[in-house]
Amino acid sequence: MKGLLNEFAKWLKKRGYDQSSIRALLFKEWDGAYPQELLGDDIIRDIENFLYDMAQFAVERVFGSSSTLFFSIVPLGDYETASEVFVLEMKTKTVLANLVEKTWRFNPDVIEECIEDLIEQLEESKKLLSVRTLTDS
Amino acid sequence: MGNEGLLGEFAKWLKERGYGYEATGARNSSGFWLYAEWDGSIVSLEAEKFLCEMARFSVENVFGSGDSTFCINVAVKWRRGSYSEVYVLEMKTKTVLADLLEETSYFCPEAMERCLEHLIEELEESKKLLALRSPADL
Repeated sequence: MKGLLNEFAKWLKKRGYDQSSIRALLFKEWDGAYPQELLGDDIIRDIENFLYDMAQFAVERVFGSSSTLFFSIVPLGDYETASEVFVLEMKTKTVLANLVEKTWRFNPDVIEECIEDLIEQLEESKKLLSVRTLTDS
Repeated sequence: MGNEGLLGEFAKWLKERGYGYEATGARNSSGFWLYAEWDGSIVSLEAEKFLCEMARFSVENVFGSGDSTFCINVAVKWRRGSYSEVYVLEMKTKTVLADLLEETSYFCPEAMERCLEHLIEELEESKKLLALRSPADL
């Protein structure tokens, strides 16, 4: 498993995911819009919970886990077309990151690319956040 | 509640978008959604679609329908038995224009009207912020 995915796997474990769930989510290609073996009552909620965790992981990696910023993560799951996740900062009313991706056949490479994309956007947003924090104060 | 005021305006807007106008109780009519308390059996996709319509109506009310200066996106999360969230975002300037947090399982006309007023007020307020935030700054 690659570096970033490995880090994400450890993070998921700390959040209560068991080893078999982590394996199904991160090690194998998904057999649909979400791994069949993990499907709950509502596939959209399953997708959204995972997108939320991806974004939360990216936020903690970039801003740390004790940031005083007021983040809001909004996952919008869809099993037919692309799903979306927004990372917002509510004190400065800023959209920090936005990911649009179809989760069908999600595989380790795509998941890692998505996390990298989120991290990159969040790193970029730091400049914008400092300007806006300064301007707003 | 009659068809006057902001809810009446919203009902007309929904009608233009293909919703039934009469309060027939049919799920896809504006009557069901607007003038009766939601019974909690509404499924998330229907509720999210409707909350999205409320946000889009508010956007058109404040910014007009033909303005392509902005790239407005609406993100809605409906939760049964908990607070739903609505966000109106402007993507060119990466700005959150409005946000709403509301218990919508048993949404009633009064609460709906209050939510529309809240969204419109926040969107009006956001005009100042948008004037300061140029896409070129990003």
